[in-house]
Amino acid sequence: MGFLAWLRLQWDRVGAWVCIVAGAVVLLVGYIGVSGTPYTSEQLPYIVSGGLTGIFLLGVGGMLWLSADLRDEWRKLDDLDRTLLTHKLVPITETSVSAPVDDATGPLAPVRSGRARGRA
Amino acid sequence: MTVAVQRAVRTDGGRLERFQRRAAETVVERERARRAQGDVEVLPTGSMPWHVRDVQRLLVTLLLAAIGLTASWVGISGTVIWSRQMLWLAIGIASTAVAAVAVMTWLLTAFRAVRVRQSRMVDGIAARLVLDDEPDAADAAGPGAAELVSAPSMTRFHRADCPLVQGRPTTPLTAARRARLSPCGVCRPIASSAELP
Repeated sequence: MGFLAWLRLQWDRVGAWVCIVAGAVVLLVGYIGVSGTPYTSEQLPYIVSGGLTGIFLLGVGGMLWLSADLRDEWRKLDDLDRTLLTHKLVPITETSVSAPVDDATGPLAPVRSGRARGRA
Repeated sequence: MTVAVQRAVRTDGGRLERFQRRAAETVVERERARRAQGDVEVLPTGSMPWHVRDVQRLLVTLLLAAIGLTASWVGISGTVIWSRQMLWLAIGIASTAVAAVAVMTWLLTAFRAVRVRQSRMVDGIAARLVLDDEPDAADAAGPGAAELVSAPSMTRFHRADCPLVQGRPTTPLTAARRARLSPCGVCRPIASSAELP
């Protein structure tokens, strides 16, 4: 698997790391800026641009990471659905009862391989 | 594959289809009950546990929060008046809080969708396995068990193979006698009541 293919599959985790690193850098820059001046009026812009923006980016990074895990879990459930249907154990799932299954993206759609799937 | 699943797979074709139908009916009935109670969770059908509207809501909210943060930064940098800086700082904090709420909502939506789907899947499997464990009437009854018997001196009616009537003179149960007698607590012939004469 090439780097681009891997990037396409793991874009959420890559994005998470980018946001986390960017957030840490922004926080560091904010700290340096605040430390460099004794005046509160000059420190406040660094608190907003460095502190709040850093927290924002760290939060988005954490969200992307957890979202990737949740998507992996969702795909595992797709796998399980497919297995159950293959063995005719559950002829009709409640998922298919409650919502129409889209042929392209429904439970039988091809599953993207994710990192967490290997841990199952 | 678990033992329970293997056991379910071993069933023959006819029973399998019957169980499938009954499991499906059970699931559909449960879903109808949920709908009747207004407790309907329409799960996403794509490859991720979010609806398109969830994605749109998250992106719009994060965009607004980013705009608010940028405006706060620009505004607070453009003045040295304390009260104005506090106003812009409050806007920045509010923007961060909005983003945090959006992120939490996003994650909770997915956690809930995954949990509901797991629960429904387990319900479906459980319904199937429970049905699978139900013995066929003929299999469970065994030879002669479908026949219900009693005797003039008895106050209960029994299956023909009930240990309490073995070696005792019995006669087939009639509808008139069945109305006066109670079922045996050992062989539990209630399941055979449909086969009464």
